[in-house]
Amino acid sequence: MTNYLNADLRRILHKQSFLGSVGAFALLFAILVFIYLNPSFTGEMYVAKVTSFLSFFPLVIGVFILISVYADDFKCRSMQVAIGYGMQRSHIILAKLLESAILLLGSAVIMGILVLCTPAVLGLAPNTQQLMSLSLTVAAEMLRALGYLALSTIPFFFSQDAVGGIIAYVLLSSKTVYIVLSMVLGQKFLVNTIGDLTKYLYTVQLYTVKANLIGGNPFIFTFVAALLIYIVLPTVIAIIGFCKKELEF
Amino acid sequence: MDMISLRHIYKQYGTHQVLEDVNLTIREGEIYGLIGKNGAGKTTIFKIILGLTEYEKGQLSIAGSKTKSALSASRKKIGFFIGKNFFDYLTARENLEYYWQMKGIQKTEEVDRVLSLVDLQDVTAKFGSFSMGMKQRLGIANAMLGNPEILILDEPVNGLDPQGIADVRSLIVKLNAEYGTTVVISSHILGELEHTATRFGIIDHGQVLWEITHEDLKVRNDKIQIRVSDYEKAKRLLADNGIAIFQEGSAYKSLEDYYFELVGGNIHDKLSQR
Repeated sequence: MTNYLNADLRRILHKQSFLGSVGAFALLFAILVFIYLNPSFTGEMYVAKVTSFLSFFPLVIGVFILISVYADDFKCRSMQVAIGYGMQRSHIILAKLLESAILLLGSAVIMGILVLCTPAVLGLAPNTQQLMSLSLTVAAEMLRALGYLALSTIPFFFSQDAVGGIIAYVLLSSKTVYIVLSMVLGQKFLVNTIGDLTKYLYTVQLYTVKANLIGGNPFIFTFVAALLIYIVLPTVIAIIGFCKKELEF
Repeated sequence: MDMISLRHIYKQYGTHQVLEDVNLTIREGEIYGLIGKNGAGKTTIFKIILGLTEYEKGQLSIAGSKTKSALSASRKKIGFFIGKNFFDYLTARENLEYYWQMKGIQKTEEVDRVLSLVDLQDVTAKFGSFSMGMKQRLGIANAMLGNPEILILDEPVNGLDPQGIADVRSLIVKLNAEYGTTVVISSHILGELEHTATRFGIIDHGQVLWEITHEDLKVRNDKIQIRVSDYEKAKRLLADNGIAIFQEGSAYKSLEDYYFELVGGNIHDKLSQR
């Protein structure tokens, strides 16, 4: 599994379009700062703008990671070669999830350094709480992308086709699914009947934990359950679905 | 020793029986030619050997291993060419380094060795810009990474020019002779397979109809065909020595003749159907 993980990571780091996507996102950030920069620009305003900008992190960076880790592999069927070499299918799925996490973490670290260092360059001098908010925003967006990636592996491995997985990921990362579910689950008759289920949505869980941590409240353990449900469970489902699948050359 | 053995294998897609009681044994050190038209079941046999598909009944064994985990371990001994499983944005070397790392091969010079075997060592272009023949050669190079004990080649000479075909043929024969590599090869070009394989299996409608060794094929052809400078003189010489001529013309029965005798039709019909 380690060999597969290393080989795949090395392959992706040779892919110029992936490296370009991280560079382009960083460039967009610089443009945003340049647009908003004026003498009355404060640390608080900076945090607000960056928070809203980073909400695109799963959509922009995540899609490139998804394509590099999963879609490219489905296209050239290198997964079949790995199985032919004797690798277990479950190990492939786990390795892919780990790869996604490593690449997301790497991209998040780059963006984190950028958003935390920029205020110093601009002379905005944000306070500790604002710096913490920026750090947690980066972490939350990274985890959001990882959760959506894990959910998208189900259509990926069940259909063995990149299109379904990419569509699922785009709908999740653009918050389309979140908005639709919030509207449906927020209906008064549903809330009165089965209670408010919107609080269990992954995005809500992440943002609640982030808000609590910024506010100095203790860590919410339901968050761990959310991670298990939204990352571990889809992975287990993908493994079950993929293990008996007929694979084409 | 049997390197690969399929015993009473049954495989079904929906209601379509793809393999029916397939029994096939590939012995250590032989070059086994698997012959069959499209849909005969060749690819399914390869997929079963490589663990890419399940089968309903039967027993698969690779280098003596039979259990699921032992089979996975034994598959490490197999190198295979099943298509062009390469990334467009990587060079030939980068693509091979990817599989080299995935296989966990220690020797760093291995990539150079297999690249030079297929004459791609100096190519720096990305795989996406490769010609059909180059893609094919890179696939064969990948199959040979790490000097596997068993080599499975599915239509390896497709898209190659005559020189390329001859190169692949001599490479397979060389690997078999020098390293004792067991080779399983499928091809539509029966004449080509006849030059390479030491044993042949003809498969049709999911059943192995017939197996014959290269030696037996030669023995069955007890008639000879000779080309002479003076045909009339040769005829006179034969007659003077009391040798009767029963038939004039080609007497050699090729692998292709046997194939169409077994699966029906003739080559011209088959070719016009393509």
